[in-house]
Amino acid sequence: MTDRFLNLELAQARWLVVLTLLLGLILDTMMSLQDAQLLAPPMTLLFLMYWSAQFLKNTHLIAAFILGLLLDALYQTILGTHALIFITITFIMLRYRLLFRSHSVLQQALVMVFYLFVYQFLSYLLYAPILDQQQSIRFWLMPFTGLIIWPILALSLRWLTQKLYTH
Amino acid sequence: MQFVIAFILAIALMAADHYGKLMGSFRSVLLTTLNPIEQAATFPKQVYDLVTTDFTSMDELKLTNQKLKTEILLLKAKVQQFNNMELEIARLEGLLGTTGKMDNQSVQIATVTFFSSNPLSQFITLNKGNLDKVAEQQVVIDEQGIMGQIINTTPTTSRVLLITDPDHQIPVRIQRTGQRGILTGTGHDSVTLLFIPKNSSVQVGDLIESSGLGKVFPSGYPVARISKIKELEEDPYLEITATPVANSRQAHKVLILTQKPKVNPND
Repeated sequence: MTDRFLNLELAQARWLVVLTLLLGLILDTMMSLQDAQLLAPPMTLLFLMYWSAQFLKNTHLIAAFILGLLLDALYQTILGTHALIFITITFIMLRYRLLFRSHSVLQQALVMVFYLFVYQFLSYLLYAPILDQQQSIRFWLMPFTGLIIWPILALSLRWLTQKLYTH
Repeated sequence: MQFVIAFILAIALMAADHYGKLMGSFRSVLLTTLNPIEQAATFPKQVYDLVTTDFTSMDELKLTNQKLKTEILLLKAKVQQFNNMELEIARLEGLLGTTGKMDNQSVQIATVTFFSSNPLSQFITLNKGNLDKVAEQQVVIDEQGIMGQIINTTPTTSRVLLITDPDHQIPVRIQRTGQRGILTGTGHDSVTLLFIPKNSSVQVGDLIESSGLGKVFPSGYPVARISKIKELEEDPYLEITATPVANSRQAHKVLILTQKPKVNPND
């Protein structure tokens, strides 16, 4: 079953991928309604990272670009900025995804903290948000939420994929 | 290779959107695509509102109804006064030979369907769009004052950039002194009044209203109230913080202003 899971191709799980990415967009939209947005990680990016590491035959850069554009429209930021951040982080993931896959979920969560830090750093450079002290703390603490969210997300998606496609 | 192409495309898009403002219709297409996602995201809140509203007691509804009727009566009386004042101002301006300041505005009622407030962007989405003849740059107000202006429209919705957004500027004047300045958002539910010299007579509590310069915002609408004044030694201008009078966080129904074409009385 593990082999079938590892050798699964994107074409087989296309609907699951599309649905989870849509769910990511909905969750990000829900977060933008709340004051806690600064502390909430970009769920769309986390879903994209998971699928980038799962399906090794695809680059996922087009998906990263389109999702970035949609988030630019959603957050009313300059068009192309989120797309740029998304393709940069996806590109780094593509370079190291074999190594990433060999890690345990907890080790992967630590790597995700790094990716989320890159996301925050690029956001800070591109948007130069005016933050008060409280908001600054929340802004720079956000990457650490990946430690909690990534294991839940990765294990749930793994379970779902195995349940739907490898039985 | 794919990365290089996507990277260049992203940079080109950023430049086109930032410098050329050419991407308005493209953004509208993206927003139209996002409409179902926004609706799905606000669905839990809508259900919660529906459930809590349905359980409101009949007595409470009757009381609100009575309050609203009284309010309408008072407002009608005020409108009568304003109509007289408007005529009188037009007469006086005619005598002075100045151009009319009070433009005739028609309004359209819209409902807030989505609200985003974070340091990166502050905007609301309304349930009126191109099909309702809503256009970009139209001003949106609530019962207290100016909320912002429409920056994007889709066939059924429109997005309003709030005055608290860091990218938003509005020409204003202090109502008490007539001193002009520019009001810009901070991204924190507050605004900053720029270009007010140190020797100006400004007080905490002064009302800031739109000056009408630039012809985007109509003149004389309340915008914000000064909450903090700070004098910096090296700066020739005061550092003034103000609180918007419009209640953008709680607003449910808002008004979209439409400028009626001016009719020349001599025609």
